[in-house]
Amino acid sequence: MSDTITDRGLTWGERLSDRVNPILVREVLQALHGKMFLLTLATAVASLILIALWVAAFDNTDITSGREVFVAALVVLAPIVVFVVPLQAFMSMRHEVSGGMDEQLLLTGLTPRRIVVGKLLASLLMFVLFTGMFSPLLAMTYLLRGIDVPTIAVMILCAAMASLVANAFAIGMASLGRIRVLAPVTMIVTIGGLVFATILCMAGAWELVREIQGAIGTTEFTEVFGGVILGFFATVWLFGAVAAAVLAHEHENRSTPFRLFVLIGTIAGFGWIGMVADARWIDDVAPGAASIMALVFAPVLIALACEKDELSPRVRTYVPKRSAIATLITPLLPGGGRALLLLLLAGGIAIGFGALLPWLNGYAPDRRMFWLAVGSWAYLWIFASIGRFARQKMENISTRFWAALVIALVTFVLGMIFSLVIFAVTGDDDWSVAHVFNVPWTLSRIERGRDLWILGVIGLGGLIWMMLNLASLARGLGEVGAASRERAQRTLSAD
Amino acid sequence: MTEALLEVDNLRRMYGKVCAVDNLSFSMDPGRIVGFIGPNGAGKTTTMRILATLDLPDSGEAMINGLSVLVEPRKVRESVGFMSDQFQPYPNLDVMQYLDFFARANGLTGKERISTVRSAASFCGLDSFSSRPATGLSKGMGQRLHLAKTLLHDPSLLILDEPASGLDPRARIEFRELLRELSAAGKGILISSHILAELSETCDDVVVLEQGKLVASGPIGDIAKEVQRHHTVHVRVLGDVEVAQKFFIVQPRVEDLEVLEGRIQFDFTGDDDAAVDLLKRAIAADLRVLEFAPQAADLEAIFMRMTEGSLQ
Repeated sequence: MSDTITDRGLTWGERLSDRVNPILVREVLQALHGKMFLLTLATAVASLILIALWVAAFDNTDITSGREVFVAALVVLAPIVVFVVPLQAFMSMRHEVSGGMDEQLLLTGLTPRRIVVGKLLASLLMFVLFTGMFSPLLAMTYLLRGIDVPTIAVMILCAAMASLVANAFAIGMASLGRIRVLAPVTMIVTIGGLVFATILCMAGAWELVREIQGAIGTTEFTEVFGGVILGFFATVWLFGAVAAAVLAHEHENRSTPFRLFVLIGTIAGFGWIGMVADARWIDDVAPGAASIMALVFAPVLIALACEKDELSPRVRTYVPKRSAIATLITPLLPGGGRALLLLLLAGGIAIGFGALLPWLNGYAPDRRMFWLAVGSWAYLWIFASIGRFARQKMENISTRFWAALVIALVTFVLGMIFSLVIFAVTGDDDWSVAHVFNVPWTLSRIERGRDLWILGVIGLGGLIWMMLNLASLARGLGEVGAASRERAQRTLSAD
Repeated sequence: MTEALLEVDNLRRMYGKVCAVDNLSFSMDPGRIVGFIGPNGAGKTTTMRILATLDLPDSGEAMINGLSVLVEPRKVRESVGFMSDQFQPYPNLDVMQYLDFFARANGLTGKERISTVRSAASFCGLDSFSSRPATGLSKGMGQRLHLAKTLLHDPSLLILDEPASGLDPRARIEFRELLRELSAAGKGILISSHILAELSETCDDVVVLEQGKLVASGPIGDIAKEVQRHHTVHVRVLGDVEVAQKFFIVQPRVEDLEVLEGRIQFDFTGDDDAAVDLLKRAIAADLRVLEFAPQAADLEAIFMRMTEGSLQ
């Protein structure tokens, strides 16, 4: 009989395990019974002994001894928590999406979101387990001098975030392996990405510890660290949403987590810029951060615009009965038309923020942020519309969503290539109308406040595309209203 | 009258231009074992996946215990156990840990979880395999584990897609016994299989599909009667076979007569009463009839007669 099922009464551990995510329980059990765990454990213990021997060999500790030992511990910990644990998460997720196991899970009470959260929690638990093994060594580093407790705490928090990001990346990539042609690519990209991240963590540990030690307690540190935490949440959310979307069936709602990602990300991102960024350097931070946000959110928004316009029959049954609530959450419901509503909303927030920025923090920066927001928003309308147009032309192709998304993104890249060709032919390194589809170049020009008539042209283009899509936008809204009324009617009949 | 456990109404599912399920309607009552048969590509798996809430029809409706698979999939899942034709256990888990995980996933907690896992394992004969790695089981034991997992949340309808595929004869017989016990416990079982002899010994009713369309449905006996309007009769006589041949060939409802190794065989289109009359006439004609055997239509005969084996 297995250890977990016995004749005796329930232990507190078993009672506790009833309250946690079943995936977490299973993943931990699997990991603890696996050969990889034993191998990693043995390697970690051997490394700990080696570091301890090295410390014992110190003739006399100097001012940086503690920091050296701390960095050595991090260098040993990094391959475990940024490579081994995420690789196990990758293999586990790959097993889940192959052979119909994910469907078997979905027939239980588990939702895709719970499955992904369970896997992430399991990886966090493995991080705690391995870091706990290193805790005597980490405590010793403080006694050796050269490092303080806040630095140790911040570095462990950074390691935990790095591990979770690596795990989320591995889980997201493994889920994409469900698309058979992508399976080998995801394997290569994941291993490559994890190896790169591990080397980066190992190589950068010394410098990072030194930087953090110097910066802790300053306003800049709080601001930068706040940004890092935002970035961490965004990355984990995005990869988690990808994995959950792949696990869910095509007729289920796969879209809302991505829409929340865009909406909350926009609010949180601009909130961070406005509330945290110091007025002295807001002019540099704001456009940079906004550009990063545009780079992350733009492909997601274009993909959402390429979705099928109609709600699936199953999603229709989840639309709230109250029409006011249904209307309020319309931009968060699946459908290309409703993605345009989201684009309208997110764009409104970005442009509004750009317009209000001069009054924030009691400081009056220039208008770069506003111009950048309007330019990015107009471009998004253009590329989202290209994707939607492509989808409508491929109604009989089963992979039309992916095809439309690829066409929109390839158009974006082709625009840049075309611009480079023009540059090569004319030899003129100044911006001209021929470079209007070189989006980064054009935006950087607008952001610098040069030739603002370009912004007018692009803004007009975006506005025209928006007007052309008004009917889809209205249909998207109308369909939610109809589904809400249907559901209310059904509830009434059932009563 | 008992309320139907499953009601399928004009279900239709298209894959591009191919119609996998075409206006399919049938129903089944609790405690019945229904064989779902049809050639490859007939739409069996698609239908089963729709009923298990894993796929959506383009039109039509299916109700399980009065709940719509379209509108209330989460509630439907509580009363459906779907055993797909794929089984891939998790590595580094033993049989009990595997079942324990699925019990947790189904929301079972504490002692209820433990006792449910035990009774499911015991029912499926997995007691002596409890500490075996789930990945190290034979095909037969793997199917038992798959079934035990499907039973954990006590579903009232079991949908089994090719459960006996790849099992040896002993494992098949044992599996059949398990299904009978489940049926006796009041569970409805919809089972698809290519092994028709297997189904004919297990099922009360059949639903025959071809190219996504319903060809026949109902109790095997009733369908057999339909088919038996065209059954084969074997006759053995003592004495001159040619005389007997001349007698039978002119009888009404006798077609395609031939003599094989001293035995007469013909297609007879009459019912049981007509067959008795024919035998009486043969004896009255002084034929020394040693054997007069109308062949009962088995599931294979039903299947072969009702389907053309067309693929799509």
